[in-house]
Amino acid sequence: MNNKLFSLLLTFLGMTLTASSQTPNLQTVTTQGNTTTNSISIQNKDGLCFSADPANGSIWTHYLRASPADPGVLRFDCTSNTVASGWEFYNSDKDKSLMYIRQNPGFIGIGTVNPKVRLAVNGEILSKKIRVTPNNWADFVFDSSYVLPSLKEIAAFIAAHKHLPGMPSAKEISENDLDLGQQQAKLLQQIEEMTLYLIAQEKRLYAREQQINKRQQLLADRERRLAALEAAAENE
Amino acid sequence: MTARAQTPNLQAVTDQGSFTNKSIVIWNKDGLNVGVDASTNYSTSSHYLKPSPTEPRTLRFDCNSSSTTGGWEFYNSSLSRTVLFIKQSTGFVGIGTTDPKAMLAVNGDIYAKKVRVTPDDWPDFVFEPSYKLPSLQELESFIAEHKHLPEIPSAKEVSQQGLDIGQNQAKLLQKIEEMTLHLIAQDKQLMEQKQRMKAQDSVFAEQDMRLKALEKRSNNK
Repeated sequence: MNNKLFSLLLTFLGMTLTASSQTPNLQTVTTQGNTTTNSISIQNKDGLCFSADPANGSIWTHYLRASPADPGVLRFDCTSNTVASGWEFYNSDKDKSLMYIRQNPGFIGIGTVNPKVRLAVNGEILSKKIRVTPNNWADFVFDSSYVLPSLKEIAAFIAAHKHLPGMPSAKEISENDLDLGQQQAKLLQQIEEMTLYLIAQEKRLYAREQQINKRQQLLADRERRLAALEAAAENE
Repeated sequence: MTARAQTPNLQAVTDQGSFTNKSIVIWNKDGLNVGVDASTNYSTSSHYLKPSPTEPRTLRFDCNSSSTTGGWEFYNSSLSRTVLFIKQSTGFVGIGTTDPKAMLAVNGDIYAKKVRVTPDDWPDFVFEPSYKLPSLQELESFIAEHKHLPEIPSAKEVSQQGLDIGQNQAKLLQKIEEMTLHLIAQDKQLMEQKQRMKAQDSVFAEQDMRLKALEKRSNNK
């Protein structure tokens, strides 16, 4: 019975392989039903092939085979250019898709079957470090050509819009999402601008300090002169 | 066929190429082994698809190789496109790239509900009495020379090395903390100036009264 099953299997896989690549598919099945040490070896160029179309089981699209470009790489190859296809890590007991890899355009969803970006995670990402490459880093604030808005303009903008100029509003954030790298660039821009305001304010404070000191001297001088006049008047 | 060990390993292929409900069952300890090296006619065993020996009911994609190259690749040969590449030696994962330089490298956008990182060096040290707050004058001359804030990466550095968002949040917070200290100092200075000017105003008013008295006296002569 074992031999019968086995020959059936070889016939079946042989058909599969004949159709796709002409080479024998299962080259060695060294041990039958061994729960100790052995595996079934697939030693052929195009490895294993799966049908992934329930409507037409004879369309073989998904291979598990050696990468022809990169020795030592096991390739999960989807030979279809259909937008919808890909690979899925799934729990059919819970009817739940864990990870969906869309082969076209190469988007990956974790906890979602419909990723709209390279990697869409329907939940949190935890990482020791995340590096991003934002464009438009905010050093332009310190360029001599940059026109720093006055604090008066900022105050008027805040009164009218209830958020800082150049920053997304609460409404925009709830509707779109927050680009972390871009947002850091914008926060830095605000900090750079505020630093310039602080420096300018510091200068005005210093100038005012000088004025007050000067006024103090004037008052002391006037005090002397007044006292002299008052003394002269008393003596008359 | 009394013990499980004696059953055939490829268990049931009852109908040939059925499109309905049958699967090929792999029922052995080391599962499937796929040769991935053309130079040995695919006979070198390295890539297994097998049960995890430590975690029951986990299907393990095992690469049994000490080589520094190799791994797993999700690929579309119709479009010649690598979707996902997993390097077996470092465990680095690349999405949209075959050459990841970090645990996870994504050649494109990441969308998530939340991103959490664990930066070190959170900048509360700014409020320690031992911290030497740079003066605004020092800051001004640094900006004039370098065109960016001290300790903040320049636009050039960011474009070359990327931005560590956790570290940068800490740095931005440090700058905000420093500015808060400057603002508090300026606020105090403003209050002091206000008080001095108020005191001067009352001296001025008092002198004005005395001056008027003198003028009156001289007019009455």
